[in-house]
Amino acid sequence: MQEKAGIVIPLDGSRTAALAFGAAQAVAEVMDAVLHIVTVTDQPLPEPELMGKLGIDRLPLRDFVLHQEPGDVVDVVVSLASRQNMLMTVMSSHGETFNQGSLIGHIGMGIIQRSTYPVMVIRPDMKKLPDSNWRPRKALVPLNGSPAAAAAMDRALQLAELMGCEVDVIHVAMQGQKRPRAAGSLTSPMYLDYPHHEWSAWAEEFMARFARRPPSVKLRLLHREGVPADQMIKQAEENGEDLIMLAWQGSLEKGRARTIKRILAKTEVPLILIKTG
Amino acid sequence: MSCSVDSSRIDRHRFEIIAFDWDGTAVKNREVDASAVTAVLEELLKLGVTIAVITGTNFNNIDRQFSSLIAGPHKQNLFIGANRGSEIYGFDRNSVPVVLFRREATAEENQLLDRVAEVVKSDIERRSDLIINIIYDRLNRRKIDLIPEWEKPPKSRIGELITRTQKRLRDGGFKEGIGGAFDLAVKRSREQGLADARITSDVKHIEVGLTDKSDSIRWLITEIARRQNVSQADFLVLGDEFGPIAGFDGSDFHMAVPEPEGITYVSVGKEPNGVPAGVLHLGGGPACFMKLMKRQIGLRRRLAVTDDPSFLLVEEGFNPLREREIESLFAVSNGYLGTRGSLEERNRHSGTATLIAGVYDSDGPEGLEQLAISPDWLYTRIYVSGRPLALNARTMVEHERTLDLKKGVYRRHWRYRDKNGRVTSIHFLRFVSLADPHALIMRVSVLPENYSAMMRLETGMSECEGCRTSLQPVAEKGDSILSLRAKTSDGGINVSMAQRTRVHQGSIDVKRKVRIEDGGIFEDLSWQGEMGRLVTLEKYVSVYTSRETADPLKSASSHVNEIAGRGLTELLLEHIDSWEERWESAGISLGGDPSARRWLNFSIYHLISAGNPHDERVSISARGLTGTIYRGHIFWDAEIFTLPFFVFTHPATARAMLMYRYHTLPAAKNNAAAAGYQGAMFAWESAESGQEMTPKAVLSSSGEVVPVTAGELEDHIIADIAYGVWFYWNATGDTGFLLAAGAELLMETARFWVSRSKKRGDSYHILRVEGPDEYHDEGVDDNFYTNSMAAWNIERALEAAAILKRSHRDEWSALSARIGLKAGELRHWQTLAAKMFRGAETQSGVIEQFAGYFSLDDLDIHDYEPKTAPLDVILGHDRTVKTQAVKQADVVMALYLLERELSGEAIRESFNYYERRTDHGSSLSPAMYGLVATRLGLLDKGLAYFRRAGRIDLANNMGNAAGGVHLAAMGGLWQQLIMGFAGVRAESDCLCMYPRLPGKWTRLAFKLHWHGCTLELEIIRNRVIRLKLEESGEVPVRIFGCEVQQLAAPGTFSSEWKAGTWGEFTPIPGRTGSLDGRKN
Repeated sequence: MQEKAGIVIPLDGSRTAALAFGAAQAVAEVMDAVLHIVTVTDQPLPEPELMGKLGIDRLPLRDFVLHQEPGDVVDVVVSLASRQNMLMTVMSSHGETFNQGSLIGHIGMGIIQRSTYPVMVIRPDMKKLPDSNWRPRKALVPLNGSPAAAAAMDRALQLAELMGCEVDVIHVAMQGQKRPRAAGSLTSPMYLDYPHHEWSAWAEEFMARFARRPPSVKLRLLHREGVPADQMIKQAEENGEDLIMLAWQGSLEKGRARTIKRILAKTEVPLILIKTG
Repeated sequence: MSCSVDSSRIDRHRFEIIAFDWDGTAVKNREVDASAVTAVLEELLKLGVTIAVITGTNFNNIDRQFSSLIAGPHKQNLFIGANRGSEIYGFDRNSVPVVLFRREATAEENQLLDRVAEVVKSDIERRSDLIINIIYDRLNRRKIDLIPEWEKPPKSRIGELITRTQKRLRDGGFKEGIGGAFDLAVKRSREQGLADARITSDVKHIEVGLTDKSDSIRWLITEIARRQNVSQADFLVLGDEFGPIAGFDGSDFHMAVPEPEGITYVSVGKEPNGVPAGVLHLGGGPACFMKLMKRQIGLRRRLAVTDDPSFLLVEEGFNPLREREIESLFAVSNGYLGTRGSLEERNRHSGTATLIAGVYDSDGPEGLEQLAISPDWLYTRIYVSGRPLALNARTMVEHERTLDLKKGVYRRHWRYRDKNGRVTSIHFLRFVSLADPHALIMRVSVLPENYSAMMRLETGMSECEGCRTSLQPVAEKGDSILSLRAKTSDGGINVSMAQRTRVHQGSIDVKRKVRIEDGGIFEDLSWQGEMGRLVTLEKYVSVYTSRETADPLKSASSHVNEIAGRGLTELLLEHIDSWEERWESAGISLGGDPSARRWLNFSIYHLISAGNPHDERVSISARGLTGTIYRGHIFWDAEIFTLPFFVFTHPATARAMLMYRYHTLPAAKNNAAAAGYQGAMFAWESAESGQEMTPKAVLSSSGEVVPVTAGELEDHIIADIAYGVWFYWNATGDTGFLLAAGAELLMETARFWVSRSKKRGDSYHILRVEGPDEYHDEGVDDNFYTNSMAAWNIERALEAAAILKRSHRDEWSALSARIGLKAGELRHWQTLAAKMFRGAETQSGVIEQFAGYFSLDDLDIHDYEPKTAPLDVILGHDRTVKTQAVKQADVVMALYLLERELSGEAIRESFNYYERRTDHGSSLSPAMYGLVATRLGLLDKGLAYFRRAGRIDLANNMGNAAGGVHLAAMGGLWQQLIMGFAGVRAESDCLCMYPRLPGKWTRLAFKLHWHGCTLELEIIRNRVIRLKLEESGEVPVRIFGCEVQQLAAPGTFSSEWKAGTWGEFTPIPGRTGSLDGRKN
């Protein structure tokens, strides 16, 4: 029999880390997946004691597996999340040491950088944290029109389908940035000879290239202009988006991934990072 | 001896196997130098042709004279059938000869041969005083020499040989002569028990053998033709002695084996007694043989891909993201019909479409017409062991698509590997005939490279998935013809297609079944595929619509029979001939810039593909027949951007485009009346009827209703059409057109402007319009472009009226009556044109784009670079309209079109001013800025714009070609070259020019049509202009800034670059022939 799909949630016993638990429970529920609670320790505890330590002993838990592993936290989480049946890791951006000024804690950073599977990041200071009853209905997926982002889009649509989400695809026209050079790129039309014809054709082509949706996913294409991160935050706020899914290349080094950093700093909804390449 | 190859069709057939007699056919004799014919035959070997020498002599003789001169892998295509059918030699990959077949006589057979020869000799000698020799040392045969004293009689003296041999025999007492000796050999062979003796004669000898040349031919049929699956029809056999000589069959007659049908037999010999039925007699000897072989080389080259890379569009691999874009770029069209470059088997990334010019369908409550997508005639899918071959990264070993722009032929090569490692190689070829617009042709060849399995090929005509306009195919089963009838969804137009296929299966048994389904009609061809054996299918499709004939199905069925009868090679040659003719007239030769050559060739290919000289009811839409996004609507792009190309290279197409406007004149008059104006108000977007097809509003992607103002406000199209009319008349002097349509178009458009203009004070104004700059789309007053073009339109109408009054009084009276011209109307037009407000100018001479433009917020477009979208997207519409940001050439468009009416200062200052404010948010813009920049001498800037325009469709990261190629940009690119870099101006009294080539370009050459005369121009940068005039008469030509010169045609003239300018033309004495304008 095929093993049931899983959602991984790393917990370190801190209150901050446990703030992601509601979201993890919710997506496990909605995706009909087993929740894999993982904690790293050299001294395994009996389950009730561990549950208490992790702060989840009073929560109604239905279908879960508790993993107590020794070793490096990042190694353990990434290894577990890489199993074939795992859909996603859900985690708080910070663990024990939450510093509002930092975008993500060093453990979280290690996990998102090394995971090849999607990671949902929950900021502990979000005004409204998802609880186990959270049901994401609308997901915002930015697409910059590059072939790499298109590859991530397939995964995003798969997740949206499993979560039962509608998807708002957003493309932001930008000033200060050149068009992607990779063959097959498609950003906002450079030439709009007769805009009423061009826009609809562009939207059709854009979706055909990058968002060939599973039939059950309702898609909408939005075109905005400005700073991409700001436009996404604005869109999420004004249109009641429940989460944002972002493609990224796995590096948050200085000068890279400006959009992700900005969204991580400002988002009020969970952010799913999908690695490309 | 003459060679009548020119009067035969043989040189139009591509042969795959060529077998021939050597001595007397390929060479005069075995002593001559054969290096010339060897070189020609080697070229054929290199082109993949199987060559076989069929000779009576031994291998060494042929090898010494011929085959030893050839080396290389292509030699594996060469075979020598030696010793009169007893041996076949081939060559291995190291060019070493290998015996592939040898008939070994038994000792008993050898004894029998000796005995027969000796009995014949003895019979003759007994009945005469003759000495007869026997040559014993021949493999499997004996030669009885009837005239030993003449050792090596040449073939060319065959007549003399016959006479002398007969005389010798008869004078010696053997009265029956050569024929008697032959009959004797036949008789004695039978008597001696040599059951299947092969008796032949070259007059000097009677040969008694076990084999003859028919054995060599049969070996080729069995071992080569069948193995390679070559059809008999592609097998050519040549000799010089098929006909009877001295009463018995010629030695080559044995090559004409009776059993297989379809082999072509040709004699290049003298054949004094004629040739047997089924043999084509060309005569001419080895020279004729050589000519035929050269023609085969020429034919293969002609049918092959063009070797100039600037004429090739190549796409390797498969990028699903770009697939719809590739389909547009690789479209094949002939003006009547266009088919996108889709994969034959289709996949989920395909945007398959075949579009027929003028076949519009209307949809939605607004009834807006759009080009209907016709049934897909390409559909072809291949199955191996029941599994369909589908293109994807996993199974693709090789995949390459090539569009030959020179010949209008699309090719695709695909190697597919399945999970069992079985590799299938597939070649596709397709074209829509430029010579016969209703003929659509495809060829598919399937080769199982490393396996044998059951193969199936499904091909037909069907609805295509994702068609936005639904057609309703009704399949009708025929015998060998499959036909299909479809209707546009509004029922207005019937489209019928008929299909016939021909399979070249060689010896493979291909079964055919016809299958009819709701969505189409298909042929299923199935066969037991064998490793290395090719099966080729030719698919002929004919298309007719109810626009052309009352019974399109009948026309298509009858036509498909006719084209299938002509065959693919013939149709392809006719198609290539037509393309060659068009390139001869429209080709550009440009030295020093291979990229620019490629952009130009690509543009010219699509422009030629889009035009239809045969149909006055269609014109060229924004994306031609390569895509659907503009619904096939016709804009000002047609007259301002694409028409000049046709005026100068193919006036018949230009005329048809303008006649389309004439036929939509009634709708244009209705449009004007409905809007409260007079005259003709042509639609901004026009389709079949000429009614306005611009929607009033569209829904944005976020569901917002966005008003579309262009249909209401972009009135400049009316003057743009008039511009096209005058441009055509000016360049062609086509009085028939002026009288039949042109003058009326000019008058009715002028009349519109008169009614559209408002008098304010002492001047006339045109209020609330939208100029070409669509960033200011809320209605502006006194748009300079619109006002100037309107005034110009009125003035040209007055000029046309004056011409008619002066030279065609009857036609003028008729036209005046037809359009209801009122007394004094023309006088009023004259006053109005003179007083039309032409815009304000700044002190420095900058023309204001429209009233109040200068008071808008100023900006410099460069401050917003880089950006990933046009400026109005970045700034937003509300902000953009308040700025001086310009979408595309507006005032600058007028600087080009109305150059003669503007001062040099106004042109320079205005160009500099608007260039800093223009976003080029339209593909129509870069080439126009480039053109004006070039005329201003800003050559580097001009070249930068030229590059930008050239890459609009060809850059692989733009994606905006998915809905079709940008024809207006292509026409613009061509205009920038001709009107900009070459400085050509079509003036009322002459053709004017002033070339300025950028530093990188060394040479530019092209042809133009001017008043029925062909002008061939060659420009060597900063050195010389050579001008060749064909036909006859005087041609008025002017170097810009000089006086008009009347140059006498035919003749060649030159202008030299001296002291920083071009001098007047002077004749080049004695210069004839082409300027060789095709060399780069």
